[in-house]
Amino acid sequence: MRRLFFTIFLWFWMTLFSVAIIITAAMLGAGHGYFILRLSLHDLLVFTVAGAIFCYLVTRNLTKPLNQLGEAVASIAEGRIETRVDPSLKQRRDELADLARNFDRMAERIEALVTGQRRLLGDVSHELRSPLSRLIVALGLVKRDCGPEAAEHLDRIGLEARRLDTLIGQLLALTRIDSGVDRATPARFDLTNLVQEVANDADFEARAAHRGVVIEAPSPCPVTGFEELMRSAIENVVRNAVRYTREGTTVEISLQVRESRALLRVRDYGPGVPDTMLSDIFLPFRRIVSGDFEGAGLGLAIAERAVAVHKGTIRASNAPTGGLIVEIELPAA
Amino acid sequence: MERVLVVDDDAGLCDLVTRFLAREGFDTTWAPNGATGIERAFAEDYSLIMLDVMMPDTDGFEVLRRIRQQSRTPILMLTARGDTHDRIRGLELGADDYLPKPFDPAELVARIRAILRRTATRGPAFGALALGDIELDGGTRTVRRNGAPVDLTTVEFDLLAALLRVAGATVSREDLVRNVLGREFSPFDRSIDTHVCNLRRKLGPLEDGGERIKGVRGAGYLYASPARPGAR
Repeated sequence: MRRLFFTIFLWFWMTLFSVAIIITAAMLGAGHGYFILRLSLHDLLVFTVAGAIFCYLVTRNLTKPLNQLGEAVASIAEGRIETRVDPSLKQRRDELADLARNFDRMAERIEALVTGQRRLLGDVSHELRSPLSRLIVALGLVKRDCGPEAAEHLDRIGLEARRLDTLIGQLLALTRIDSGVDRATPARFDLTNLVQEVANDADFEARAAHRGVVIEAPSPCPVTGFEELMRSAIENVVRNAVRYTREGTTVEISLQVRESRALLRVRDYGPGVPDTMLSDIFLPFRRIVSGDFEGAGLGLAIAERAVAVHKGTIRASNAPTGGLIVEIELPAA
Repeated sequence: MERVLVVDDDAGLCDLVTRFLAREGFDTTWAPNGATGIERAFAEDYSLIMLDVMMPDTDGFEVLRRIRQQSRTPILMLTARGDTHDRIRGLELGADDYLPKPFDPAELVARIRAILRRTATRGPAFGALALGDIELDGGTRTVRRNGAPVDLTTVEFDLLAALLRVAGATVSREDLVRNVLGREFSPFDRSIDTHVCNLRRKLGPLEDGGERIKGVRGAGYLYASPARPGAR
């Protein structure tokens, strides 16, 4: 469609320009008593048609490679980093061929970086976790050999080893989100269903600690994005709320859909956060409530990045009657 | 003595695991890479295979697929914690369960015991179940859809049986984890959902195009049925 538009555009101006030259020439010629050009209606028609074909070819010669380049760019943007431009493009002898060659060089570089990043993630995960795996199994053996007097200390070692493992996992999760290595094509999923699933599991976990999780959610709420990523965002926010809410209280989750925006609200009955630090809680390793060291630091940062990937917003506020409210707003589609 | 094959490149870890399992009454054999693992799995009879899917020089999933082509020996795969893709892919390829690394050896023993219990009761615990286009034979552990056999893993078979037995009624995720996977429900563990997903994919929709296994929000899963199945 655009190609047709450009063709007509170019043809229009070319024709106008030719007519202007012809008229000028005619007028100049008339002044001197002779005609430079004698044109019949038939000649004009031939010129016009030939001009139109010429314009179409020129336009096609320019738009076709641009379209090919555009497709390659879109393909890479969607995560198919092995994409390269059509080889025919690089055989041209103009600036577009240079552009195509440079594009391919850029694509090669991006591919090398992404695969490198992916491999590094795998290596880090493997290299850090291997000694930890051995440590935990060795600890299991020690526990069986030692008397009960050492049990307390050994349990402590086990607890710290698991914290280290959690931290490695969170660091990797954060790096993965930032580098976008495992983001394929976005898909539609039901946010209500997802929130419900997380809430059920969180409630199960909270009950063991004499706390609870309730949810108020409407009919299905379709969202486009990455379900597992969104799950980890919501899971981190909800589990954080469960961690800080006072014993005997219940974390309240609500999901509303308003004007094609989904609004998820998670409210706990914990100590809340000093007003000046409300936005800091989404930064890595920013722990506000001291004393409780469990899972410190990265959960809310992961949530913030995951929500940002979905073009949503996350913010925290203190409830007037005490407790923290975390709100996630997402475009519903 | 139950025999366990461990396929993992980490010699130190395998040494420790072997010692731990020995005290629990397991005889452990170690295979340091995928090729040796496949060879051993076919050459000898094991009660269970522990397979690390993250070995640096071997594609663990390829090993899993190759073993599954010829053997129904239960497979417990070891994955990286938090890697959902690995978990889903492994369970799809027929692993019986998974354990994220690093693992507590006590948890490992519990998982192994759960899998062995599950596979030991593989006998004809029930006769046959039939509902609509699905026929399930508890004796031969085969499933047919419109007369054509459907290839299910042991977990998928047990899951289908658990849902089909009370078709039309909801079975909670907790009950499914306890009765099908044979372990206690732990929150944020989505393996039962992955198994349901695989089962749905293998069985396809109902004859009228409706959803065969429905997820009941906040409750569990149910096999769609107008009436209870007739046990034969």
